[in-house]
Amino acid sequence: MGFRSEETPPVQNPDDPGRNPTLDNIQQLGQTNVPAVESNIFCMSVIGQVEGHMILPPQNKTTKYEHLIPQLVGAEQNPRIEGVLIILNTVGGDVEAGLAIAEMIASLSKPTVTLVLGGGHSIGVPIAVSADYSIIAETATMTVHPIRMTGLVISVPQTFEYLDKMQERVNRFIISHSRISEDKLKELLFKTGEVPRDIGATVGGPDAVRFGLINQVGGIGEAIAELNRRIAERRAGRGQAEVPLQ
Amino acid sequence: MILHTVLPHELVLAGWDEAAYDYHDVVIDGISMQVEYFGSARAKIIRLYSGNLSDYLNPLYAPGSVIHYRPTQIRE
Repeated sequence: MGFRSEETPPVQNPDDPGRNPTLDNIQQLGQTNVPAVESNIFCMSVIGQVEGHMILPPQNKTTKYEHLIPQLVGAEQNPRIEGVLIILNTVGGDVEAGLAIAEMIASLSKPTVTLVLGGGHSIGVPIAVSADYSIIAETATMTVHPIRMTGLVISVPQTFEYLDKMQERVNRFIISHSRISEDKLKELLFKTGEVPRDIGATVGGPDAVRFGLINQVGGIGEAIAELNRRIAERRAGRGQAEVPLQ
Repeated sequence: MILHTVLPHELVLAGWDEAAYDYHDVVIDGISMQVEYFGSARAKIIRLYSGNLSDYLNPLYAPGSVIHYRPTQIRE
């Protein structure tokens, strides 16, 4: 089982002292070779629209949930993968697909860290908070706003209740996976004057941390450091657990 | 399906009725997958159907990658 797509066959005798593989590659292929080192961290990015039940038109950049879910299962099952890093720059998308991805990340037994770059909007919020630890770039924003409905709307109280239930699923996930209080989340959701033509709030990096939505402001350095720290912690914990009981 | 996004729905769904997909199910190296034919003898991997988890971690068959195929005669 390997992650490398190709293995470069040795062109020359590897013991040749005069051999410089990087130089060989530059001369032969006009490119430098990235050393093929298998990482113990699995990196997954969620970009553009989160695509679920419907194929979105091609002008959308999408992240399809049927691609991410088996990858997450693979990462959980593969013994060589010790931690999962999720990088988010998403405008939101399908509620059910977003929640499915968030639940998958939240239920992984391996350490997980999310990094929000650029934006983690709408259904990106539950994905951002789903990991063990979440980091947001200083310039990144998260738009917290209620679910909208388009198309056929029947003007009966049930329509409102249906939407309210849908919103409640998202809210419950965010509250149970971050430090934000229900009151604060609802306050952000129903804020006016921040999002054009809509209600809701645009939360910047430092504010997301202040409100308890995200753990820390930082970047890739902090994300990898935190993930490595958690991996080391898990290794140490497992070492103790493996001591026979009798 | 409910979209929860900051983008207006009319932008997300623009061109909805024009999209045409040429999807086919094929098996390559024992991996069942869905591909989209385009150009001559080229296909883009849309998604894998395989139940083997390591297939999903193999960048060679990652969705979006382009494969080349050789047209062969089918004897029926």
